[in-house]
Amino acid sequence: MTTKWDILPLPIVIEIISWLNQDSVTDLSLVSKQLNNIIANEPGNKNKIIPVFEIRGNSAWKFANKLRHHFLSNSTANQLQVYQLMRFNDVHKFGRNDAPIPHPTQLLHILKNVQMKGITTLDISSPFPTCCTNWILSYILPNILPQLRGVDFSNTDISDGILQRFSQFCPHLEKITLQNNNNTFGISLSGYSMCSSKNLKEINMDDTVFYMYDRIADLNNHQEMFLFYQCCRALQFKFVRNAPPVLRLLRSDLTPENMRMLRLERPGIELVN
Amino acid sequence: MDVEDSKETAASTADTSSSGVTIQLISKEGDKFPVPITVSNMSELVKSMMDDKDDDDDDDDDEDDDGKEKITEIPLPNVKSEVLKKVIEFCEHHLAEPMTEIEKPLKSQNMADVVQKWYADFVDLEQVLLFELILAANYMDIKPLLDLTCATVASMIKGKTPDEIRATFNITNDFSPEEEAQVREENKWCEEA
Repeated sequence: MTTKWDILPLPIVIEIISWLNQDSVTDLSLVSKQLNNIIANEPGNKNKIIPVFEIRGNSAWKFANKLRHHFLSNSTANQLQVYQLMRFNDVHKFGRNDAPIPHPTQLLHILKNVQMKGITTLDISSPFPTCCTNWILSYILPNILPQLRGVDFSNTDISDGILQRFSQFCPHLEKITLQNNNNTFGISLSGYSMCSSKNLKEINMDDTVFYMYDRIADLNNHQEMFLFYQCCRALQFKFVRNAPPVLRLLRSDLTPENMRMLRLERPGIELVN
Repeated sequence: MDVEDSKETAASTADTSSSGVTIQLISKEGDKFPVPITVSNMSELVKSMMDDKDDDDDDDDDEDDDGKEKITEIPLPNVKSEVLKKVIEFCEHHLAEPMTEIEKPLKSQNMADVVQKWYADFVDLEQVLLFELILAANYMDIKPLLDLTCATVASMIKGKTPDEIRATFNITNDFSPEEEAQVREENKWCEEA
């Protein structure tokens, strides 16, 4: 039977797809073979589906054991490498049902040689602020995600130590999002915990608690110091644009163009480069 | 459709235009729609056809032999009168109140949330007419109209299940259950831990 879709030429269908978000594109791909083929295979379609590996539940033991099982199974081992986004839906529940509480080395032993090399983005954020994130889960993930480019920990309470592990084991890391971090001890303002990340380009840490060991406030005698100076030589604009109203002085390695834009948007911040 | 009504509407707008120059757009059925050049120029197709005509008529003046103002006719054989009337309505309004840019990806299923109310009301149409409007916008190369109409179809997809999308657009499910399960798994792996 002729449908209304049939009168639309391919470029128009692709144009319509371009207006959809990931969830809608995913649903549309299940409507018919023709639409699935357009979404998956048409070179003109730039709004491709990002395959998602989604985890629900509350046990780090189960997570590690199941992942190992899939990795060792002939029927699923290759499929595991297809996914690009790993997302935890119930991160605030993880660890609650773990008895005995696993030690990270036990989980790392289970996951020895397990790597999901297709995953470039990890979403381990919580939809609401939580102060009991399972740190063991965050501890083991860097080991199995060597190609990670971006990670989102927003609304959790992950520590400097966890950031340090991601920085060490995920050498391609470009973007860290950590909005509203609730960790009591805070994140190092110098960027020390991320100093192994040589490709870091964007840090989003609004409403996060920081600490500093360095005398970063002594700007006159330490010209080399600025926010996250130990990890960032290519700090991008977004972080500073959203800085809290109390920010008055900023030294950075922002580009001249970004500094010009910042002066226009936030005239109250004095740039002391 | 009452073509005479639409012609009168378009003609009255043309009369009140300050541009002075009127173009006759001719629909698939041969109906003529006089519009000010400022309106017709929103179509890149019409604009380029006008440029071509200007090149051809370089040696002519703007009046014909009996002194009347010459009216350029632009045939649009792919656009029905009913659709052309809507296109002209859009272009006229766009000149008075330009459409705000619609953000991608679409943020709402409700077009009134993403664009001015007039435009949201404008695309509240029968599906057949909406799809023909998309084709006309594409053929006449009117980007804001193409954006608006394609975004409207996207809003009809947003938030719906595959079954609901099929029902909305009368699309037959040609997946076997196994094939559908495979596509689902390729798109998303759900792990219970």
